[in-house]
Amino acid sequence: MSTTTTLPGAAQQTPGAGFTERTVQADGFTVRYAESGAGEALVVLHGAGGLRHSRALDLLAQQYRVLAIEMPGFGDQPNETHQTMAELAQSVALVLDAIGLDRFHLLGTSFGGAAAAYLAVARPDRVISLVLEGPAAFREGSTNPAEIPPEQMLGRFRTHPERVPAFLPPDPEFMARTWPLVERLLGSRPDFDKELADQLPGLGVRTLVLFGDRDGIIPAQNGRTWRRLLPNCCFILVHDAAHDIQGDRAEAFVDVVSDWLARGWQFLLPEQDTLINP
Amino acid sequence: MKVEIFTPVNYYGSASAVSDWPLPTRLFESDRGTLSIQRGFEQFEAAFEAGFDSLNLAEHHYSPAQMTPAPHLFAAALGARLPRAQIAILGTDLPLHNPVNIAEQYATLDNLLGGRLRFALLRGTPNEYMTYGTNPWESRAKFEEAVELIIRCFTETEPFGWEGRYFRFRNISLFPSPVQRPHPRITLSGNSPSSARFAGRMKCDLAFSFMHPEACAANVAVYREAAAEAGWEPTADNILYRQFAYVAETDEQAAKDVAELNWPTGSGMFNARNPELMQVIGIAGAAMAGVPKGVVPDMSKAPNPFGPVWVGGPQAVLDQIRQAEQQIGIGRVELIYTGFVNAMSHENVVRSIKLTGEAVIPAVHAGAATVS
Repeated sequence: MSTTTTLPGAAQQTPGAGFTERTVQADGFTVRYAESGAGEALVVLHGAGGLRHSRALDLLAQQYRVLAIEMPGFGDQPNETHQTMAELAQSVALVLDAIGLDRFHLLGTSFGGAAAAYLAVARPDRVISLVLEGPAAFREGSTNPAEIPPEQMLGRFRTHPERVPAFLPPDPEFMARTWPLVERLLGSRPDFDKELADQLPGLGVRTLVLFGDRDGIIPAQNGRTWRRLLPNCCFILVHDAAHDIQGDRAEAFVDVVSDWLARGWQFLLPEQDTLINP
Repeated sequence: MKVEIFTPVNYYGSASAVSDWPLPTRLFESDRGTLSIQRGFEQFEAAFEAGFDSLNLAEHHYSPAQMTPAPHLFAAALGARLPRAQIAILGTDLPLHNPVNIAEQYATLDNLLGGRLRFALLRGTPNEYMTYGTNPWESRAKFEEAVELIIRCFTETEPFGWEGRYFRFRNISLFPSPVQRPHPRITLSGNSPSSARFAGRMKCDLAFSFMHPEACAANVAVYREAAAEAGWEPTADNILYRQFAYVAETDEQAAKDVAELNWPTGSGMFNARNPELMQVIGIAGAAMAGVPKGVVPDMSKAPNPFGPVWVGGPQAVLDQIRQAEQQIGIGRVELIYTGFVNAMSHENVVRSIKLTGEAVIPAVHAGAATVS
């Protein structure tokens, strides 16, 4: 395991500035990850655009030890090994073993949400709780991103493109490297992942599924599928957010996610005092 | 074109002569309350027999103008008395309420009425922000979120939560659902361009209350533009215009009847006798319109809300209806006969409703320019 620090002079308000980059060897891959904070571990699996920082992860790092993993194939090292999302998830599990994590919370976004679901199915006893942000395993009603006109792309990801960090589409070089992997594991698959669906009724891990109500990449109604199949699932629509919920509504995302991580279903009971005066 | 009736279910009693908001509870007389409810039913029954296409209610609080702070109750009773009548609540004063509970109430009501229901979601009159203490500066933003949440309550098929800007619910699962799936037709106000745009975006019906038809026509254009962007095209049936109407045998008789009690405003509706309270009502109205907190509104700039009322013999009123139809492009006209508080006698209202049914409604339904 090696350690690199962040670039000197990084502004505190730049998302991710408080994160430290590390690498680990696992399953034949050199895997980069960014870590910040202390306490219970929160493993974060990114979307098809790769490892990205956000204000939401910065805020979560104030309460949790956040480990944002750059999954095999999304860094410098190509990944022609994995043929299915289940295999990628298995590899990520080995990465977490190599880091030395025993039990952890798990947050997956979009492509990473599918990976997180497979990881939880494979290692349910290791996952304290699961959070899926616009998870890609069930994409009924969605448009293939490759077919979305470029001028529409931003609006489908962000209701609020003005918020920090700016949403930047992946650069062409990154796309060339990673898109075959994304296509192989996800894009070429049916928009309803039957193999995963068959396993979800047996997954007892408490799972929070979030969809932005303006999600233009994966329609929010796909959240119903998770709620219906999982025995221990809470499905929440985040209003006024598109596919990038962390980017559109960082505070709301952190509010609901941190409450779920800390309290689980007890988060249905508000604890705030409503007594106005004695 | 459809012809609908709006009955506020006025309180008929001496308290109605008092023009003050809120009106003290002390002034309510139980026997007059019972009589008022009875008269409300009579007016609706007369309208149903006269061929009106929908019997409509609204929601207001703390006033003898309406015995319906909880219109769902009256609507349910009305629906049981008249099992073939179409009923509408135009509309819920949404900022006052828990949106999920409103969805539940309408779902229940739709079951009680066997699907004979439409409803509107509105932002209320300025005084209503002082009913339960509701922030009027948040009015539009919070209202729009509430509308979206209510529609989700009807359309989500699994239990779900809503992490909104103003509303947080983590466990919503409507049961019963409305019998009309996914929900009854929902009407939103067109009285301002931004509300008309919202209605178009949300694929809802559009309703205007009392505004001058020319102003309405401008907002219909906004509605249609927003609808096109949202991928649908409204028909005339999606657009409703509400206006005060009084029909008598002759134009002269009608003019005489409405002058007697100063119809339609009568002894006024939501005016506070206390000028300081009245000023705050003005501030709430300005806040609803987007005037920022701390800015004292110039009341002379407040838009005149009302267009000309429709008074006369059957032909004169039919002419007015046809003119509004052409100017606005409406497929539904909604008439209110009682006026505001203490503005018209119950007997005159019932007579006017019957006469409308004999002479005006057949012509409207037939698309004719002259009365039968």
